Amino acid sequence: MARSRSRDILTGLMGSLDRLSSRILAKKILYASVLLFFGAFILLPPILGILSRLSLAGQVFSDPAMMARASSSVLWSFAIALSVSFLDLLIGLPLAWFIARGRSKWIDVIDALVDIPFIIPTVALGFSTLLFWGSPTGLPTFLGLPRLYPGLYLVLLLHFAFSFPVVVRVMVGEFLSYERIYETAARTLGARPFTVARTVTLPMLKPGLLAAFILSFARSLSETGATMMVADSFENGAIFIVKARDAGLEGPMAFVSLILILASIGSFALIRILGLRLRFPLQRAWPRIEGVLSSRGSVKARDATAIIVFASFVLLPSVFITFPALGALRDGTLERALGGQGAWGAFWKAMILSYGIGILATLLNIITGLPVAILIARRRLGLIGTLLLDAAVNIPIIVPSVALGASLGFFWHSFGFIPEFWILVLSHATITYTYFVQAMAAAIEGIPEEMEEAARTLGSRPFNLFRRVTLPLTKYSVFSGALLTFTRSINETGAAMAVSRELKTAPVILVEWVRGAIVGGASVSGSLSESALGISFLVLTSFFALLALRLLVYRGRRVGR
Amino acid sequence: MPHIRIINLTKTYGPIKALKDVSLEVQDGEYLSIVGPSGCGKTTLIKCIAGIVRPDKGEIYIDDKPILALPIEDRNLGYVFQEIALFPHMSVWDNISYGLMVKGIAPSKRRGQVREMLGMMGLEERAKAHPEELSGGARQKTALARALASGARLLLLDEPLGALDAKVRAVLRYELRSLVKDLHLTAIHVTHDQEEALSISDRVAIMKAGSLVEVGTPWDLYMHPRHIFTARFLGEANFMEGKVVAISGEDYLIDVGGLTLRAPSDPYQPLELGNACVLAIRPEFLSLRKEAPGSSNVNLWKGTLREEVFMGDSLRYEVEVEKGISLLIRHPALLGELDLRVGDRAYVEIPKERLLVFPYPEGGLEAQLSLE
Amino acid sequence: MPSLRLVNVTKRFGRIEALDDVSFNVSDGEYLCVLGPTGSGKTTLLRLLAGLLEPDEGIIYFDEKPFNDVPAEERNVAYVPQTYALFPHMTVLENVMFGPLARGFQYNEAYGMAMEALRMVRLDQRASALPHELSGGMQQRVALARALASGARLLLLDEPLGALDARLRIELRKGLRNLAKASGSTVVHVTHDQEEAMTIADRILVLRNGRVQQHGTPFHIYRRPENIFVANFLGSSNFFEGIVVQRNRKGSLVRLRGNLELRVSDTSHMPGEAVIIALREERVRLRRDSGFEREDEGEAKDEDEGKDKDKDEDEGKGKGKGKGKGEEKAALLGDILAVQFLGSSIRYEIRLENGDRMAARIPTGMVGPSFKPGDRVFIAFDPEDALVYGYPALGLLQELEAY
Repeated sequence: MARSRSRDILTGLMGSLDRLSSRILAKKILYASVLLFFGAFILLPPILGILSRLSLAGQVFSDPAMMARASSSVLWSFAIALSVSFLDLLIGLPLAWFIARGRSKWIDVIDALVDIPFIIPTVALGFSTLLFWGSPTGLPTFLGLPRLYPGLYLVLLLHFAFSFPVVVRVMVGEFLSYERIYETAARTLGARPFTVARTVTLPMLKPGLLAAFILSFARSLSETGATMMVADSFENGAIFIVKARDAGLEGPMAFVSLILILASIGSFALIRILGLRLRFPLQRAWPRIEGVLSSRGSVKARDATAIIVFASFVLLPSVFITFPALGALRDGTLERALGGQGAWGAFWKAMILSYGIGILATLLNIITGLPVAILIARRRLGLIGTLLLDAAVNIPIIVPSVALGASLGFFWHSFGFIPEFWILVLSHATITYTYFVQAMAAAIEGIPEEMEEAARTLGSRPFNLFRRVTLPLTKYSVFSGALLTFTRSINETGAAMAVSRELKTAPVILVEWVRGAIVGGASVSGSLSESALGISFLVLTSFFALLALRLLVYRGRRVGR
Repeated sequence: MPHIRIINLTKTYGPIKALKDVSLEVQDGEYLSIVGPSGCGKTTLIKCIAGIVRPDKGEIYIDDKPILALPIEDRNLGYVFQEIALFPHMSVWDNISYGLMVKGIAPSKRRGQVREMLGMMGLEERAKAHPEELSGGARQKTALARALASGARLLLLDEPLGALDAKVRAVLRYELRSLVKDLHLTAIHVTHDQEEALSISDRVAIMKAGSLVEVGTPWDLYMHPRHIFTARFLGEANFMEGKVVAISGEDYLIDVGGLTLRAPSDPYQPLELGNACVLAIRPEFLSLRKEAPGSSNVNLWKGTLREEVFMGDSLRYEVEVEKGISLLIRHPALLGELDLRVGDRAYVEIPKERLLVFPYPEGGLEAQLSLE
Repeated sequence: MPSLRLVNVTKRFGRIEALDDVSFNVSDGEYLCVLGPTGSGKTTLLRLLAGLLEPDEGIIYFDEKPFNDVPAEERNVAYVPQTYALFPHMTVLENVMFGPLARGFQYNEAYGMAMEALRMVRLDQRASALPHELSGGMQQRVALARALASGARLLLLDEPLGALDARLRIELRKGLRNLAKASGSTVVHVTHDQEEAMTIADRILVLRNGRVQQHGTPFHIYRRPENIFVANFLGSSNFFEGIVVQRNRKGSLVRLRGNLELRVSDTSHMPGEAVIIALREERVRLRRDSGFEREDEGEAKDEDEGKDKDKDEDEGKGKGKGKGKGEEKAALLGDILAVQFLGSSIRYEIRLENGDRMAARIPTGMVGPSFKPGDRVFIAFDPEDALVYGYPALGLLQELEAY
């Protein structure tokens, strides 16, 4: 088995890197620099940004009308997030159970369909929801009911729909990885399936339930673009910030951002603490009733209800946009689009911008996020250090992206020499940072430490360990993490809106189009079909990215990783 | 006290035949162990009884009532899992009272029975603790208490002592048997540890590759096994291949690679002149001497001592007999050391009445002895 | 020259001392078993030797060079965890080549080293298989081959046979030892199974709660356990509480509960001292009547105080070296409580006339009349076999508690 010279050179290079990686100084420099990057570019900017506008924010107190408007918008944000999360759990749990445990040939189909609201960029979701509930061709009209106009109810329906997949995905994962033996033990003790679920499975999955709730909650607070489409004059915190930015009112913008940030962090801590205290009732059982609830009939009824609600309130509203999109293919909009005529020129520029930002942000996350993921997963900073780092890394998702974007805008724009393009890149990287790092940390944690220890004692230095053991075993996670980051970045609206002054990313342009179409009269079909088509182009990107993701995950599962 | 009848139970997982037509009867109040190597089907068998696994064919009767149509929760038996599987989010008390709770019995009415269980297991002090705070032995006892608290009369134990240290296992197993007998339960205990099975069971069932090989009392299976695998799996045995060259009265004269042995005949498995056979003799029944005894004894072989290992309560000698056959001999330490060094000439006495004779198996000896 | 030496090694986790002032040495090429119950610190010890942990106090010497600051990857010590930790994404060959490649050997050399190791464990034919395609026993051999191929001179094995069936474990013990000896490595093998340790080790180190209890050959530790814990942990023993009432040159008389007296040949404790007597179950003899003798010889012997008679004209099974033939005094009396069949031996649980409980283990082939629960029996033992220890400060149960 002869090896070519170039391979020998490569081996030599790897060897040098290996030896270098053993030296404590090299390790320290590597980790210190990524932590520094994290601190300086991800963590500090939003904090400093907000602080720099603190005094302006204070001015709001002197304006009672503005105060009232601001406070009510924040309250609405939380009210919506809370109610939507509860509803999502209520309907999502039975559906997740069905997907994870059920025996039906439809399960794979439904499993794939559940992801759709997740795949579709939220701008598409917003527009689709708008059309489904509010246009003459939508559901209410079909049923002979009055149309739903933009406002609170549409916002609620929208938020319910896009948070739903999050809950279902998390819970399906939890159910699939759950050790069934506890349920079997409970059944041998005479418990009916419903009782088992209530007294054993769900209490043990409490962390998963909390995680699903929190993610759903966070998503609802953050969402901007789609909400703007379906809100009209209704205002939650996110909408308020955008309107303030449009009007050039930095004071109120900073004020609401700050309140949103503080309230988010506070509520997450509260949910965590209350969640720990939450106790399921375990002391009594009602065998007869619970027996009936466990019967085949009840199970079928429950599954059917969950599927129907899912279909009518989540799935159909999400894909409704395909109709006008298909229409756009026939009425000449497609030719205009491809020709770059009219507003389409700006659109394509925006798409290129979005892609560019997406790729750069993803690369940035991979390079600076991997070492941080290792630090967290292997607890290199000690118990307390790891907890702090973990919490710090989680901040970008806890904080609503629009508020984050606003603070980042404040910060970076104060350095006049930084081009807006790079500010957008950094903002997008900040928002997606958490996803990548936590996904990688989980994957690395999945590698038993014993494996690394055995490798070390066999003579493997850190870099060798990384490239021959850690990386191969987590490469699917790296890819999927990267894809998720990229997709998230492409679809990000709120932060982009808050940060940008001149440059417009694709979702931002689309939101403008849709709002313009509504304002200009709901029946301006030309603009409607243009919006539909534009959104479709954006959807296609996400679609292909997530298709690639699915394929990778299946490949990964077959190889055993 | 339940009486169990298992009839022609079969279970296949794709190409793997986990259970092949297994039939077994367990008497009221009996403590039956099922032993065998990994993959022999013993766990699948009790899972079928419990309802965790559905067999493809066959039937199971408990007190003459067929149970296969019943779901797990209606079978009213106690099951102790290999993984213990205590509910981590519940205290010892709640774990133990679970079986009563799900029957709809109110907390106040459960108290008495739970307290009694705790007392029986010596767990009163740990009632409020959670599983992660308990020692291995305490967890085991809690799992047992949980299985018994709701009054089940049949106890199924899946490697109940598997998670414990060797020393702890050797002590707890007797407590397990005492408990079952005191409560007049019927118990089916699955284990891969044959000493465990022998020491506490009324009867032992041996399984291999999905089939039931043999069932009998520990003594019968150990001293008079009917199958080569039984002789091999329980305790240790030396195996030799031979051929019947003469029949004299109730004995066979067997040629083993040129040497001869006198062996007792077995009316259940008679052999004829010329038949190939397999002989087995347990190391503890062989005697090693430095000198040949006066009396002529056909079953005295000459060999060279190849190895001596101290085993604590005994010494294990390996003697290479002429013509390349080696025998393992277990010599109780109580009888003192033999004045033999490795390389010395020695004599092995093979008592006729302890020799086990089996017809040569189809498929060869290796296949019979393998643990797969 | 010992290849491994530990001097006053201590390791703490928070306030818990996992290892407390541990000192011992291991010779080059020796097979050492570290034996102890769960939580005794044996895995911590192994990890310290592997370089995955650093001692808080004390020094570890390898070939007389202090080792504490040498990182794991430079120690040339192979650590095989209980789960084997084979790399699931690599073939058997790639797994075994990992060590040599990591140490900088060229591909061809590494290949050669790997194949040789695989030949030693007889798995060279499965070189291209993936770990999950192999049985438990085979995976263990791959893990060993991987350790051997790395050229490490010290093998650290963490419960290497723990994941296997009882039967398989017994079969593989010999193979494991032979492999280690053939490769010339020094081995430190951690286990909680005392039978395993006794059959496989050159020497055994007994640990409890982080402290060394005894270090010696299996024979030495079994016959002369230095404390009650060791006496209890290896083999099966009976324990009796008593007070020394008499002592002379030839032995002592110990009074148990209910004024029952035992004669022992130990003379290291003074009259009036509270002591514990340990007697191995297999060293106890039972008979229906009080005339005592060796069961296989059937000759009554007179008391013979102090005369070492080497009776080698006997036709018995072996030559006792004057071991207490007929030195037993009046036999103890007891009732059989339970009979347990263990296969090669039968264990009898007995209640003595003073209420104390004990057990006797008789080889199956030597069992004369069959005793049944409820029978009266006479019990005797050789005073030399009774080990006497001072009464432990924390009480007997504490010392016996192996978990």
